Amino acid sequence: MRWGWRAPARKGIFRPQDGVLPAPGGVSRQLQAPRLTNPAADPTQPVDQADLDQEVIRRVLGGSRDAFELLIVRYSDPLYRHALGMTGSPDVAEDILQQSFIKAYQHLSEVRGRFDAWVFRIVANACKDWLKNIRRTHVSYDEDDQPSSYSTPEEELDRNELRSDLEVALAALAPSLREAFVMKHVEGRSYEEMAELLGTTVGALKMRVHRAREALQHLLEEKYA
Amino acid sequence: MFDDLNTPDDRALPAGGALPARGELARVGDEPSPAALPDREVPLPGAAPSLLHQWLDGDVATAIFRATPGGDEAVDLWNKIHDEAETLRSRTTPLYVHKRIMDALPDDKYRVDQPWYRRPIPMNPAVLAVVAVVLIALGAIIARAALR
Repeated sequence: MRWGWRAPARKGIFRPQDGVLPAPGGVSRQLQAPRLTNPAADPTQPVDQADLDQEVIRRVLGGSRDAFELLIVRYSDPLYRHALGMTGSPDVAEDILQQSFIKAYQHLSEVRGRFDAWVFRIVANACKDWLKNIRRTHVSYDEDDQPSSYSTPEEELDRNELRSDLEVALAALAPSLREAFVMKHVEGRSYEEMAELLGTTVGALKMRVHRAREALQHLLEEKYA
Repeated sequence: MFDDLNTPDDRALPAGGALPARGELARVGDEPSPAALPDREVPLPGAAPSLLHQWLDGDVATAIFRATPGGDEAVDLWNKIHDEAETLRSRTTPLYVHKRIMDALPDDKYRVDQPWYRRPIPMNPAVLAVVAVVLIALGAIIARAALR
C-alpha cells in the first residue's frame, strides 16, 4: 500500500460541492453546481469553472443579489472544511465562512483572476487571524451533533480521544504550519495547488508540511504509535 | 527529527513527548520576533531527507517504510491520523449557513439606479391621498370646462 493520503493530484483549485476525493491523478473540472450557460450546446465539452464564476459575478454586479448564492453553494464546502481544519470548531468555521462571503460580496468588483482562489485567500487569512488572536477555550470539531459512524462505543471513545489529542497537537502548530498541513493532508491538495492558492513556492510549502508532520509525530507518537 | 529552529525557548515542546494542555505551549513554528524568519526552501541543517515524508507524499511504498526502524509504529500512527482527516474531509457546510450568509448580505450594494419612469411607485396612504387629490382636481377642471 502506498500512503499518499489517497490524495489526488488535482489541477483545479476547488472541486465544488464535492465531498469525495477523485481517483489519484484525476483532474476534476467537472461542475456540479447549477449551470449558468446553455449546457445543450455541447454537453461533453468541459465548462470552464472560471468562466461560470465570471458570469455569476457579472450578474451580481448588475444588481442580481440572489445570484451570489450560486457562488456560496459552489464553494462553501471546501472553504468550510478549510476553516474547520484550521480552527477545529464548527461554530467558528461557520462564522468565518459567513464573514468571508460577506466580505467577498462587498468587494466583488475587485476580483481579478479566479474567484475561487480569491475567496480562498479571504478565508485563509481570516482563519490565520483567528488563530493568532484568539485566546482559545476548549473547542473541537466533535462539538456538534454529527451522526456517529463508529461501530462500537469503545471505538467511538478511542476516536474521540484521538481527535481531541490531534486537535491539541494541531493547536500547537504555528498558523502557517497548520495551514500547510490541513491543505495537504485534510484537503488533499497538491503542493502546486497550494502554492497557487497561497502565493508561495512549492519548496517553502514542502518545508512547512514537513515541519508540521514532524511536530505532530513528536507530539502523538508516544501515546498512539 | 523535530526541528525547533523557530522555537528558541523551552516552552516550545514538552519533554518526553507528552501532550500538553491546550494553550500551555508556544506554537511550533512561532516566530521569535516580529521580524519573521523567511520560509526556507532548503533542507533543515542536520536533517536528512526523511523517508517518512517520502512515504507520506506517496513516493515510497508502505512495505519499504515499514521495514525501517520505527516504521511500523509510524505507519499505525499516520493511519489513525489519516482516518481522522478522512472524517473531516467528508464534512459539508450546514445548509442553514447558506441562508444565514444570504440574509446577511447588504441589499443595496449593487442595486442599479433605474430612470424615474421605470421605478416602481411605492403604495402608501400619503401617495394614495396625493393621487386622489390630483384626480379630484383634474375632474373638477374637466367638469368646469365642460359646463361652460
